Parts: sequence; structure tokens; C-alpha cells
Amino acid sequence: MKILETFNFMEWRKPAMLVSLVLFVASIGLIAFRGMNLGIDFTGGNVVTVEFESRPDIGEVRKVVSTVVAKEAMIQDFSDKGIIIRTNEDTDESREQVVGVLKARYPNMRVIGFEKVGPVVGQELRNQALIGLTAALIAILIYITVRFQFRFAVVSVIPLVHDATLALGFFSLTWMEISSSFIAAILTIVGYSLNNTIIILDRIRENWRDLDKKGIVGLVDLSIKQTLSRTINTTLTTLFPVLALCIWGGPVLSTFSYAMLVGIVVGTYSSIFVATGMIVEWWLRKPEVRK
Amino acid sequence: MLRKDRTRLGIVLLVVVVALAYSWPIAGRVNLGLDLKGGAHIVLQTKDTPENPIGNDGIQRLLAVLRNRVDQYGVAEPIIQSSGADRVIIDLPGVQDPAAALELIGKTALLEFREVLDVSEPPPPPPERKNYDSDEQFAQVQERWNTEAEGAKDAGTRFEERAKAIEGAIVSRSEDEKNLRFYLLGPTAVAGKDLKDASVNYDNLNRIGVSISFSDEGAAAFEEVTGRLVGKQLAIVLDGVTISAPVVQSRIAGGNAQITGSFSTDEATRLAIMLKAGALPVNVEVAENRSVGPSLGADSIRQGIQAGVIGAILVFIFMLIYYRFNGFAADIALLVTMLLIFAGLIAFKATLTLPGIAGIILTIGMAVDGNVLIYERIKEELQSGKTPLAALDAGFRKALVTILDSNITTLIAAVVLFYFGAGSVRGFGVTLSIGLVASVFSNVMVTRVVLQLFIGQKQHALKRG
Repeated sequence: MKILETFNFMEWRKPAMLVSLVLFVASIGLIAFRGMNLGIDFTGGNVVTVEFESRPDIGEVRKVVSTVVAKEAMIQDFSDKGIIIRTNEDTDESREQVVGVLKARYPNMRVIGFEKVGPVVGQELRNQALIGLTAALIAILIYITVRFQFRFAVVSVIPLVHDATLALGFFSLTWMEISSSFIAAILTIVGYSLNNTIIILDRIRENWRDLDKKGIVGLVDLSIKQTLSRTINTTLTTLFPVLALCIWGGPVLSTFSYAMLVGIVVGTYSSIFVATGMIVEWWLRKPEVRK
Repeated sequence: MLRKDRTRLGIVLLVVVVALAYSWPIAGRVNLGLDLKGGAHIVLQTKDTPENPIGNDGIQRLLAVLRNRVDQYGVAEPIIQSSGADRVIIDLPGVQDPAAALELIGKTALLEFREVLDVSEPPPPPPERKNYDSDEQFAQVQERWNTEAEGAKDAGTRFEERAKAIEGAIVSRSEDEKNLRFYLLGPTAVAGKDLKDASVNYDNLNRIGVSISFSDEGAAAFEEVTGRLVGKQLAIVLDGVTISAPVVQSRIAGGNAQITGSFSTDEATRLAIMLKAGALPVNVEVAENRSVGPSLGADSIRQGIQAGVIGAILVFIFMLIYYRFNGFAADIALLVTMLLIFAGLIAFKATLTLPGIAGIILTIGMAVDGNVLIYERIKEELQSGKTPLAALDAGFRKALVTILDSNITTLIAAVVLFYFGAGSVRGFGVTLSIGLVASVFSNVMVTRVVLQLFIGQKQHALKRG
């Protein structure tokens, strides 16, 4: 980590913030124009998980299913013998029809699980997710304002919005399905990224007395470096289990695992560059009288 | 060792011993969610209609009927509870055939006997190509058949018109969809609420059916209507569909009757259960239905444990390599964190779901964060020339505030998830919250005790040497 210790992070704040801005705008664009692959938790619909003696060709299954569903069904591999079929039709009858035609074609098929969500519940979940995210952000804003100061609260909440948006953008780009556990992942990313930011901010507050000697850039840079091995080590120790979840955690958790993976990487980056860069820029433009 | 340190050691030992004694053996003690142990989770949405307004009383009666049905069906430890003003949640662990369970729960099972006022002819069977000489001939016949089939369907609409003029009359279709008939039915003569008992049995032609016996009131009404309709058809209507419409041979006294239709044994059994438990007092619709087979749940647990163990091993090794002995202390603290999480799950009777497992795995990574913070601080303190014990003390003291700050913000997110999250995601909020509290304890107390014991010993040895 010797190289990193001679690296002056804050010299790169402008390019880094530009990159963040570009990624942020690109994510918003993706979400707005490409949309999200929302799972049935949000849209309503049916998901059936079936298992075969030996898995047939997905294309063939798609053909069989398409005889009874109007809109195209999402069909995916599931473990080594099964497949998952998702349709947007939200009645029990529709699911029974799908199972019926498949059973006729593949007599050895077994249904090992299914989910049906009606349209009302989907709408509710979307609202709940929005309320939850907003409530969490406001609560965090209040906590940091009380513990630190309002400026710190603002510069730590903006990276959170940045991280959550980039994670959404990533899911829009890869067209991975967004299920209700995605909300859990986003909120955890928010908490995690904040964790990183707070530790750097905490150090900045502690070093504040050297402001006149070092200047704001030097001060922030020093604080980043002092906390750097902690930031890297914690990111690594959190990444290990999350990587294990991505690889071995099974298909049901994959939304959660990949969202966490993206969130941790983006969150660590934004704590080091975005939150700190904003403090520096803000200070350079409008120095605040010291508390 | 100072007195304060001894107290700390005592607290840690006490907590570990109590947690171990309390949660041992862990197997089978943690409540598993339906997504892990398999089962059906069904949410019913009640529908307000002028005839059956919902109201609190309606929900209570609905719950009673559902409990009755589920009990008779034989499900171990079902959960049936209301949710909000107009919903009912039904959790059926370990149900092998979720489709059958849904049939049992979602059907209103409103049984009625009504006089048949008129009945439509079913459409003739569709023509088959092999009975005709040429394609043209077949096409002509097919066209004629199509018009006739359409006409048969129109009968339903015509009956609707006529039903409007008759008090209490309804139009019902036959259960048999191939020979679809429409019935114009008079007002309800006898209804399911007049039933006393229902059971499966076979009639004299060895067809399976459900035999029912009426209450006194029902028996009198049944005797009256059968007496009035000798030689005419009486329809047996279940949830608005005519199951059968036999011709009444003679007045039936004594309050017993037999329903036959095209039932399978399972269907007849379910019908008998539903009739005995009573009809649902309000109309319901399935708002949500998630069923997980036992094999899928077992797979999820296996994969979760696998990912967790591999993730934990990686973290253990990393901490050992990077922080050496201090890393070992952190690993011990991590083990205590895991123990406390499971003890917490058992103590709060929390339900472990698949996202909950993810929460625990995530905690493994995040829990050592506190240790990393402390160790980096201790390193700095050592660099500034403090003795190991003094550095340890200062490191813990200065890191504590940071640890609390960073964990409280994550805790805010976890608590929000618990309040706003639905179903299994809630389980994530639970394990994450318990994990955060447990890891702060382990970071601050357990690690410190382990390190103090070790450093104290070393200093002791130095003094003697």
C-alpha cells in the first residue's frame, strides 16, 4: 500500500467527480429509456420453478409455453435440472395452463415452487419501497446533522443517491431481474457506503485543527490516507462473503448478491472520491467559519 | 489486570456461556421461513360486495372458517391471521400440494339448491374430418357447427335477460365444459348454512359423492322443495356453478341428500371439508401466493450455508494473514458474533428466511470492520510511541465512537427494512439488526478481552524474565 500512500487523492477529485457525473447521468438515462426488468413482486404475475429428469432445451420450452401466454415469458436456467418461468399474467389459472402444457409435453416434470403476486400487492410493494428508501435517507440525514454538521450530512447523502442510482443503472444495463430482495440490497448499500463515508468524515473532523497549516486539500488528503488501509481492508472483508454469495449462494439470492457486489465497489469509490471531493470544492468556494 | 478489565472479562465469559447454554443445540431451534422449509404462503384479499360487506365481524368469521378448513385438511402449525383491514395471511408449512391447498382455501364453497326454470341445449359435438368425404363438405359442416356453438353460448345471454324479471333468479352454467349448458334457476330453496354434516361416500352405482345431512330447519325446507318439484329438475349449485341437476323422483324427508358429480376422490374430500367448515362469509381473491417445495428450500439452505462458510473462511484467513495475532482475536470475536446472532434469533423467536441468511453472511464481512478500525488505530498509537497496553487502551477508546457512528447508520437502514419490508425481506432486516448489535459487542468487548489477556501475559513474562 506504499504506492497508495504517496498518491494524492484530492488532485484527482475533478476527474473523479466528472466520471461519477457521467455514470450517474448514464444510469438515469438507462433507467428512463431502457427501463428495469422488474420482477413479479412489483408488477404482479406468476413465477413457476420446475425440475426435470434432464433439462430440455430452453428454446423448446419457450415454444411450448408461448402457446398459452400472450406476452413473452421469461425463461431461465435454474440449478442443473430446473428452469424458472416468469409470466406477466397474474391469475392462478394462467399458471395452471402453463404447468398443464408443460406437463403434457414433459411428463417427468415436477413443480418445485411457484409464486403468484396480484396487481394490487405489486403496486403496494413499489410504494413501500419508495417510502422505505426515503425514510431511511431522511433518518440518516438527521443522524449525521446531529452527530457532525449539516454540510457533512449533505456530502454524505449525495454519494448514497449516487451509489443507489449506479446500482439501478447496472441492473438496467445487464437486465438482471429486480426482486424485492433488491430493495434490501439497496438499503444495505446505502448503510455500507455511508459507513465508509462517515469514517473518513470522522477523521476529517478530528484533523480539522490542522486546517490552517495544511489547507483543505491537504487535510482531506491526509484523512483519506490515514483511513485508507481501513477502507481497503473492510471493503475486502465484505467483498469475500458477497463474492461467495454470488458464486455459491444459488439463483434465488442472485439479485441481492450482484446488487451488493456493485454497491460495495461503487460505494467504496464514492466514499473516497465523491464525498471528500465535494467537501473540498464546497470549502474552496465558500469557507465556513469554524465551529 | 485492572478491576475494570476483570469485570469486562467476566461479562464476556458470562455472555458466551449463557448464549451457548441457551442456544445449544442450534439444529431445529431456529424458526425457518417458508422459503427455507417449504410450504405455501397465501394472501387473500376480501372483496366488499353489497350482499356480503366485509366489516370486522366478517373477517373474524372468515378466519374461523379458514381455520376450520385447514385443521380438517391436516396441516401442522398453520398460521392464519388478518393483515390490515381487509386481508388474511395463511401460512401452511410443509404442504406437498400447494395447488390443492389453494383450492381448499380460495373457494367460497357456497352450496345452494335451486329450482331449474329452464335449461339450454349443449352444443353438438364438433365434426370430425374422418366422417366426411371431401374437405369442402367438412368445411361447410364445421361452419354450421360454429354457428350452433355460438347459439348455445347465446342461451346464457338470453337467460340473463329473463332472470331480471324473476325475483332471486340467477343464470348458472354447468360444470361440464364440453357439454356446456346454461341453467335459469329460481331463488335459493335450501343453502349450505342449513347443513349439519357432510362426508364422502359412494352411491349405489359406486360413484363417489358427498352425502350431506341438513339441520332441522334445512330438512324441512328440503322436504318442501322436493315435494313441490316431483318430476322436475333441482339444481345443486356450488359457488354459482351447477354441479348437477337431477330430476326429483319423490318428496325427500329425513334431511339427508347425496351430491354426485364428476368428482375425483380428492375433490370430493375437499368439498366435504369445505361444506362442513361452512362457506366463506365474504368473497375472497388470491392476492399473493408463494409456494416452495421442500427440495427447493433445502437447496437454498445448503447453498446459503456453503456461501456463508466459504465467505467466513476467506475473512478468517485474511484477518490472520494481515493482522497476525490480532487477526486471531478478531476471528474469535467473529465466532462469538455468529453465536450471538443465532442465540438472538432463538431468543426473539425470529424467523430465518433466505434473505435473512444473506444478512448473516453479510454480517460476517461487516463485523470485522470494527476490528479493522480498532487495529488501525492501535497501529497509529504505537507509532506515536505508546506502550502496547496504552496503545490498546487508546485505540479502543478512539475507535469506539467511530464504530458506533458507522453501525448506527447501518442499523437505521436495517430497521427501516424491518418496518417497510414485506415477507422474507423482513427477515433480512432482522438478522442484519441482530448481527450489527452482536458485532459491536464482539468488537468492543470480546476482542479487547482476548488481546488484553495475551498482552498482559506477555508483559508478565517480560517482567519475570
